[in-house]
Amino acid sequence: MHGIKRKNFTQELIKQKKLKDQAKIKYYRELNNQLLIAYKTNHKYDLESFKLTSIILDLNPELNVAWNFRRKIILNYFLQNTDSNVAFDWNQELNFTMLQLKRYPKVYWIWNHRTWCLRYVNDIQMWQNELHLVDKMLAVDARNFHGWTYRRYVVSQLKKNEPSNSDLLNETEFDYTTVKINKDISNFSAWHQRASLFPGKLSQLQGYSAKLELIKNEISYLTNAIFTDAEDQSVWIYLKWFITDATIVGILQTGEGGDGYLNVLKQFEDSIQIINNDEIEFSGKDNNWCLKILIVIQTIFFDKLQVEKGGRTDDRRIMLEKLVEVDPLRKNRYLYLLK
Amino acid sequence: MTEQIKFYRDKHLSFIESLDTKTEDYEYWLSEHLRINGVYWGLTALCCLKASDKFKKKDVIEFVLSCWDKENGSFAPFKGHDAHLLSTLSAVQILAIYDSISVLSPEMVDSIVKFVTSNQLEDGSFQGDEFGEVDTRFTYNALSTLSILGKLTPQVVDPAVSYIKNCYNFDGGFGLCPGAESHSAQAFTCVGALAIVGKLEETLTKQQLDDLGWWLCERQVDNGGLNGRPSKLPDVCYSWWVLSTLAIIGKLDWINFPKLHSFILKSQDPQKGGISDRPGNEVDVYHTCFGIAGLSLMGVEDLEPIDPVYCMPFYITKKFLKYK
Ligand SMILES: [Zn+2]
Repeated sequence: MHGIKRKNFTQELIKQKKLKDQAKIKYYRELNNQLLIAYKTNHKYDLESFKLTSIILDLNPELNVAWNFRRKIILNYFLQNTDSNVAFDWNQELNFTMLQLKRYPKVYWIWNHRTWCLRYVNDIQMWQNELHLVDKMLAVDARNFHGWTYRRYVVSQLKKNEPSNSDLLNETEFDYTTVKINKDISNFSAWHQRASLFPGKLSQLQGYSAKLELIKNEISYLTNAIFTDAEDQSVWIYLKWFITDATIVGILQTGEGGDGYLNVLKQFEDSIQIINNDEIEFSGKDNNWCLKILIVIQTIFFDKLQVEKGGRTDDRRIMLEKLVEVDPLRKNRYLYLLK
Repeated sequence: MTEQIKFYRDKHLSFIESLDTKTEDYEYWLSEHLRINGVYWGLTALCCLKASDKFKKKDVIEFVLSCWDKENGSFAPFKGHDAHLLSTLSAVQILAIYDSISVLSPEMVDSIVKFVTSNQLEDGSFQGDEFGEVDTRFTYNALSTLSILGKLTPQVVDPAVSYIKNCYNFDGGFGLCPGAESHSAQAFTCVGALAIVGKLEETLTKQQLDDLGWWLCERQVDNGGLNGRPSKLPDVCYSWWVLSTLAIIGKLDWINFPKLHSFILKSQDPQKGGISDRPGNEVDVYHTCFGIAGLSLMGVEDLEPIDPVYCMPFYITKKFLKYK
């Protein structure tokens, strides 16, 4: 159970609830018994059983056995029947699960049932409708991971149905993450999705300068984001990925006489230092994410690129010691890294 | 540092004991699909509290056997329901805790193994049952079940491991399937599964393990609780998912114990006993189990030490056959 406020009932209220529950329990248990007998004992796959599953799932969408029974009825009754009067209406079925999802957006079994249905329907228009549905779901809760997983699945099916549309879909999906992030910069689900789409977007582009331009655009988007909200970890996790991703690094390294990557890192380092200095001026303390990412950047400088130290100092130990102070929850990680 | 809140040991015991008497509550009947999981959670909490005798062993084993689903050849969450990998693991765990795997006939064991392995798909992933839902939770269920029964084979393990590897993300965490966002519960199921088959070090590099540790310790928020993903609210059950994973990779102390300890204690119901997802919310057996198990991992409140890989007491899991 998640997010249900504790009610401290008085004895009187408990009595009242129990009384009210009595009738509900009686009704539910009768339906439940009917369902289990029809399913497991009698294998009664017919319209009546189907309706029974609808009624009980309406009361309890978590009742997995009812979803299973429902699917068996669809397979063994509706889809076997040649009489056109009982042709199965998949749209109605999708509608049933949609209403359920609206009420219970976090119930695994409902998402699963919908995915199961779509395997049997599988046409392009339907997948497009699904994309609209998941848009609406993510508009209500932009972090619902069922929604995001479902979205990726729908997009992969759209691509399968129309491979020529793949590039366009990558484009629109990438833009979708921008919209979500602009709405809420802490939406890590969107940042995650952006990181999985960006390399594909790069590989779609022809020629070095087009790729480089895309990377530069992303750098300014990111720079803007860290200046907007330096407290939230989402953008920092993305930034850490961005400066270490092999594809991006590879492209940057071929530019500016081999110094392209180094220059980008320096640019980020400068921006982060500005943000951190502002923070120190404002609150008297370092921003802990600034320090964490500066350490990542310096690790690339000194361990991976083996940059000449001329003019640069390796401040990693100093920063780790500061982190022990400003981020005490994770003190032991910093002590481990100091060893 | 810890605020002076008591650990309501006795109240938790009576809360857990009272679970099966709630038949006058509508919610009791609505949760039948989780009954066997609930028994496992309750029993595990009791083990941690060194009071496993509060459940009647004979009744519990009888209940577990009543969940056998003949048609599918494995355990359902309740009599008359369908077998699933989730309920199969709970059943086997309960029997293992009671040192009673032997109540299963050799035919039943073979049938469980067949049920589990027949749900492995070509890419090494597992579906929960015949209806195709794939999730790394089910990979954990499958490997843990086979491990407890001593039936792991390279045919099952090798593809499962390569699937898990594909669920590793750039941020150091794991998702429910390849491409899915990192989630603390999935970190446990993936890393726990790798640990069960002894392939943690060969699957993840030192850098990846450090990144995983980093991602996990960033789950702790200012009030001491742990969350499941960035910018989400803390929740007591992540005391288990995050802490157990940190324990498995040898970085248990990367979060602040006194603050988490205090967060869990604040989530207790001082009247009825039991622990909720966060302070002030309604308690349930799931959060009671994982809250207490989390306290056990931190070595506080004089609890029975729990194995972070199996979520069962060490005195039980040390008897399991190690897969090589
Ligand atoms: Zn929880």
